[in-house]
Amino acid sequence: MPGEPPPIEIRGLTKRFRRVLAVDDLSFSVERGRITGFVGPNGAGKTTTLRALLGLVTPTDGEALVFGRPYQELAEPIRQVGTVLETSTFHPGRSGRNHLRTVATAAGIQRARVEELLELVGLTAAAKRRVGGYSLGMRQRLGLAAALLGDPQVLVLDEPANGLDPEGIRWLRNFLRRLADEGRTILVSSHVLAELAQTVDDVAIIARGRLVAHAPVETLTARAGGRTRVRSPQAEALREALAADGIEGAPLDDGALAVSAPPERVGELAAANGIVLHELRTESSSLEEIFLQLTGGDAAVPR
Amino acid sequence: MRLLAAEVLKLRTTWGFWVYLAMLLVLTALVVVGTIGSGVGAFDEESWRDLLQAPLIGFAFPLLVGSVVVTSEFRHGTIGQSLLVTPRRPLLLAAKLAVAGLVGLVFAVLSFALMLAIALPWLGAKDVDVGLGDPIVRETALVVTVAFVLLGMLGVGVGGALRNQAGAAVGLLVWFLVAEFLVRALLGVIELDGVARYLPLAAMEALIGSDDLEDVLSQSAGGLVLAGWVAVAAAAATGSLRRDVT
Ligand SMILES: Nc1ncnc2c1ncn2[C@@H]1O[C@H](COP(=O)(O)OP(=O)(O)OP(=O)(O)O)[C@@H](O)[C@H]1O
Ligand SMILES: [Mg+2]
Repeated sequence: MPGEPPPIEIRGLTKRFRRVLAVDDLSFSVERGRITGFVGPNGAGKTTTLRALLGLVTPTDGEALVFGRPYQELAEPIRQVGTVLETSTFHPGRSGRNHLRTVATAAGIQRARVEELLELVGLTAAAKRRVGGYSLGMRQRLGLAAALLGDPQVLVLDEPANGLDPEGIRWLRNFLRRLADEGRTILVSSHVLAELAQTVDDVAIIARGRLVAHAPVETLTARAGGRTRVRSPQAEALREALAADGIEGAPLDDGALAVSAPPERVGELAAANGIVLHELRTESSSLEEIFLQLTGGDAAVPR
Repeated sequence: MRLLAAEVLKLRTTWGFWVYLAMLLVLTALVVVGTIGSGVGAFDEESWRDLLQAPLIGFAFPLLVGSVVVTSEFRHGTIGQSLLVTPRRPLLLAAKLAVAGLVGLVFAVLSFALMLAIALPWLGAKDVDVGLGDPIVRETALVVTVAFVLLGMLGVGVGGALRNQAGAAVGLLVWFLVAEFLVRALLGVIELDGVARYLPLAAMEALIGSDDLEDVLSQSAGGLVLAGWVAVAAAAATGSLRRDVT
């Protein structure tokens, strides 16, 4: 629909904390119904950007808008935007259920909804316990439950995967995917691109407070050279089959091949030549490489 | 209304609130027991008034609860969540002022009721003739309530202005228990004694009708001056709460 403001829009956002320029003239917007990964090294300005978007931090310059308006001007903020902040927002002495109830009460949300969400994030059994005794993963789940209380169309999640074990990360991925499939718009930050690569549609990369890339994941992957990792017990035969098609395959330390062609192509060639494959996937380290390239490697301390 | 209900729920679901209430009640009971139990001489007008004012021994508790209503949110980071639900900060502050006033009211009612519950049967058994109908009962109840309500709100203002839990609690206690006396002495030295009665504790003393200080304000003026301090603190809190929450 023309003229309809995007769910999230950052326009020329600048934030200076005394001597630190945390966010430097940052602009990007998030399209409806997509998951956008907001990625950058530690101290890149992700949290500051998200907090400005949520009205917690006042921009030095520029603006950060939700549905075209500052967060403070939303009529029912948590019914429109669900948020998980990076830092803990729980009183350790309060139970998980009571935490959700305080939020629900302030927003005029039914108590039954609290039980629904406890169930959804798998905290029903622990709901009576003090949050102080929760594991990191349980806290992240509680945070997600709070974010979803108002059934918002937009989700802003600051490093929700922090502290999760692989099992928890998988749970989170599926969870986010499900939410996105329901048509929600999600902006999720991380300092590890690979953590998000499989889940997000778009990636916005930030370094030293500036936007260095904003594109669909596939575009970034393509830009990274589209390297495919393939492993076969018939490695030699595979190399020859690939070479016959003009595709280079470089052997990796563990016996796999790094191939500069998309996985579909490699799979088809292997099938045509009757070659068994044990592994076939897009090499995510190539994404990591482009990330490091774009963000300038380790020198990520803002001026 | 939602906000107020949420603030009440936040208080109810934390230990601090119950501990402060319990301490207030215990202290009040101790003072009542002390006042009646040690009564060697006759139980006169003076002892009756002291008895009625027993809840004031715990005047620090509404102050502390009030400050914690704000500072606990900063201490534990719940302020982030609260501001996500209620991004208009003056509105959140107003809800907190209201809930602290409510706490003051509840604290006053409960401690006053406890005092009467202990004192009336006991004095009755001692054949001391005191009656609930005595106007001084109603007057003192009113004064204690007004004092506690204002102190609760003052706590919110100071807590909001400082944001820091330990800082606000220590600051309030030090002012009311030590610093104001020093300031009064200092004012005396520079011959500004007249100003001393406008200080917060002096205003509270005037409000409750104490005559420890020379030159006290009238009770109603004391109440107004204390309310003025609440307004000053609330204004400072409004300014401080405008700052970034990171
Ligand atoms: N309240 C503050 N006062 C001063 N400097 C701050 C404040 N908050 C953030 N900064 C600085 O701003 C810069 C950006 O910080 P920010 O927290 O936004 O980064 P980030 O991308 O979220 O990093 P991380 O991945 O570590 O969470 C950092 O240099 C940080 O030190
Ligand atoms: Mg961060």
